[in-house]
Amino acid sequence: MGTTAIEYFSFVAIGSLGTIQIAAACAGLKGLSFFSKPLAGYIFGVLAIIGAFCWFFATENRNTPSEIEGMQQVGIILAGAMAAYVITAAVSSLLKYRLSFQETTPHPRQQTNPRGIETLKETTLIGAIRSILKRKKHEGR
Amino acid sequence: MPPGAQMSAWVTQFVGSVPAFDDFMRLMVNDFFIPVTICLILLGLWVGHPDPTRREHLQRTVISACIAIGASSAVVELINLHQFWPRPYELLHSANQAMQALHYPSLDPSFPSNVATISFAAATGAWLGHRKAGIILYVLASIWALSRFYAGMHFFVDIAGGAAIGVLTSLITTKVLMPRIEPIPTLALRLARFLYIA
Repeated sequence: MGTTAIEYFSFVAIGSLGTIQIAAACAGLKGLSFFSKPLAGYIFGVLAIIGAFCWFFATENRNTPSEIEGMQQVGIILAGAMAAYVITAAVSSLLKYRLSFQETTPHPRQQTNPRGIETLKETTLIGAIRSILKRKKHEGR
Repeated sequence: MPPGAQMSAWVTQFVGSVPAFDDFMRLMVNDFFIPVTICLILLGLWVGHPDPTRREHLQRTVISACIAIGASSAVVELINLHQFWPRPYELLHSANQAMQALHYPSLDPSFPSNVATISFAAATGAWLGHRKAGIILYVLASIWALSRFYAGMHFFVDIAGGAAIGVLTSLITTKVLMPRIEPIPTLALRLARFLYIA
């Protein structure tokens, strides 16, 4: 992967990370947010997005033929967004360690209709996985 | 010459007159600025609603918009099998000057504008599920398309045609295709929820 592709991936990942923090603050997803106060999430998110754009466009002239073609651009955007989500989930799980031990409310039909990120209003991603494993262990007995 | 080619000759002569405006258009015509902005807005729609029912509706909206982008790109590929006319910068001196000042030569056909097609497809898909987000995306799509016109990359008929293809494809995708391919979107969302990404 060329330098431009790596820079583009980083740009998308940082921008996505900022967007996820803003969205988590809007949606009340405490398990995804780095901060306990929504305002801090909004400010961090805006700064991350602006920072990503400024870095990407100020460091080099981007109006030149690039090695990244259309479908590659789609792939890099998807990869960047997924990387941002994984990093966000991991970092918030570490920052909100105590929330990981919060018991979650399972959906009556968890197997066929999981709650997904709605669970992250109560706990972190690590906490959600931990709750599921604990319930399966109890059901197995 | 395509219809309305004189408009390209007229608008591109202004490149170089107002440096600040040219700097703004140089950023807007870029291959990365507006596409990434559109994607971040769609990501925000995917995650950002507190009510789970409404969030699912918005996630279906994003899925529909993404499929529309793909479908409209496929339509453009089919149309591109026939080259209607060259790019403005290949025919008009002022357009060539504008292109060199703001962007770079492109190898694919002028009609229809791929940029206008995919951005208007995304905007229409978003608008059908969330009016405010859709309006913002329509503004971004219009700026991106018009910046290409200003930079001598497309004739006006190219961006108008591309926008029409994008809007139509998105309407067909959302209103006709999405209901018919159930339960695939529902199963996809269920899998995404299982992975905690929806």
